[in-house]
Amino acid sequence: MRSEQEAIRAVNMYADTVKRICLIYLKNSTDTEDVFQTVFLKYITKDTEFENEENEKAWFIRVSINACKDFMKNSFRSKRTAFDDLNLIGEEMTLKDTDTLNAVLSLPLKYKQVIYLHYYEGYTANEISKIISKKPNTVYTLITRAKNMLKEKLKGEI
Amino acid sequence: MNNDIKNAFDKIHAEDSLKIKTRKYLIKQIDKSAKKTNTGFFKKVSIASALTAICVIALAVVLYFTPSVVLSLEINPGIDITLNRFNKVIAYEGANEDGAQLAQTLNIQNMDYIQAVQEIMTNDTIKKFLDEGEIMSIAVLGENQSRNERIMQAINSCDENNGSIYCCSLNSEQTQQAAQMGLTPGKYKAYLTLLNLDPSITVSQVQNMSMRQIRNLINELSSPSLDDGNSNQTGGEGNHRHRYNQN
Repeated sequence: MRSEQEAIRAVNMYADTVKRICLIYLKNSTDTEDVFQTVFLKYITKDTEFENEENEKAWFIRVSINACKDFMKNSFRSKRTAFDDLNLIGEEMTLKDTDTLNAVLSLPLKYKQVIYLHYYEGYTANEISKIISKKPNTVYTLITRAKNMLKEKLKGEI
Repeated sequence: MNNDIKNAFDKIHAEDSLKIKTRKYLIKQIDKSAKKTNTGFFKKVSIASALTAICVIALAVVLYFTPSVVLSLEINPGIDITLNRFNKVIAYEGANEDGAQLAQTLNIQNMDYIQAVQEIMTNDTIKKFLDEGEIMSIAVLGENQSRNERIMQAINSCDENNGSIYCCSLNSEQTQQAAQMGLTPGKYKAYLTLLNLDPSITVSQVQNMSMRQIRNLINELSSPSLDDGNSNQTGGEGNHRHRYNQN
C-alpha cells in the first residue's frame, strides 16, 4: 500500500480530473464522492510505479471512467439532469462557460465522453479508443458527430 | 470552440470538502492496512514460534524415550535397565523371576544410572548376596564402545567394596551370541575370558557357576601356579577340570 504522502499528493493532483469525469458520467455529487473513494483507494493499493506523470494521469482517467460505468450499472440512475447538483466552486463561470458546459453535458454519453477526452484532455482518436475500448474508426466517427451536434446546439464553430 | 470547451472545463474543480473527505478516507485505509500487516506479521511469528516450540518439545520427548544403552545386572536376581542418551533410566524389568520380584520393589524411573545402580546395590535383597561374597555382574550393552567404557568406568568407581562389581561391555552381536548360548551377557563375557585362559571350558560349566565362582577361576587361571611351577596357561587340562568339578 502507498504512503499517506503519496495518497495526499495524488488527491491534490488528480481530484479535478476525477471530478470532471464524474460530471460527464454521473448525476449527482453523492455518487461522485463514492467514485472518488473507489478511484483513489485503487491508486493507493496499486503497487505499480508509473513511467511518468502522463501515464499516471491516463491511468486515473481510465480508472475513473470504469468506476463511473460500474457505478452506473449497479445503482439506480437519477432522473435529475446533470446540472441539478453542479457545484462549481472556485473560479466564477461566465455565461459562455455555462452554455458550453450545458451543451457538452447534454449530449449522449458516447459523445460527451469523446468531446471531453479529445478537446479537453487532448487525446487522439487512437488514444481514446484504448481508454474507452472502442475501435479508432468508431472514435473518429463519434468525435465528428459530437462536434456537429455541439455546433448545432451552440450555433458556433468548433 | 476548442478553447471554449477548455475554458469551461477548466473551471470545474473538486470541492475542498470532497478532497478533505477523500484524504481522510485514504489515511484511514492506510492505517488499517498497516495494523493488519503488523498483526499478521506478529501472528505469523507467534505461530512459527509455537510450532517450533512444539517440534522441539516433541523431539526432546522422542529423544528422551529413545533407548540408547541397556545395563544388564545380575547377581542372581537379574535386572535389565534401559538408559536413554542422557543416561537416565527410561525402563527397567526383571531378567528372571527373582529379578522381576526385585524390580517391583524399585523406584528408579528417570534416575541417573549411577544413582540407579547404587539404589540396587543397597537394596536389602542384593546386599544379602553381596555380604555373602557374591559379585554383581553389570554388562553394558550398547553400540558405542567409547560410551560403554565411560559408563563402565563410572560404575566401577562406585564399587566401594572393590570387587563387588564385575563390569563389562557388549555390542549387539555379542549380546545375540550370549542369548544363543543361554548365557547372561555378564557370564558370556566372563566365559570368553575363561575360554582364553582354558580352551577346554564349556558353556554348560559356566552356566552353572555364579559370577563369584567364575571370577575366582579367572583369577586362579590368570595367576602363575606355585604347585607345579608352571604357569596356568601352560598347565594340563586335567588340573583345570579338577577345579571345575570341585565347584
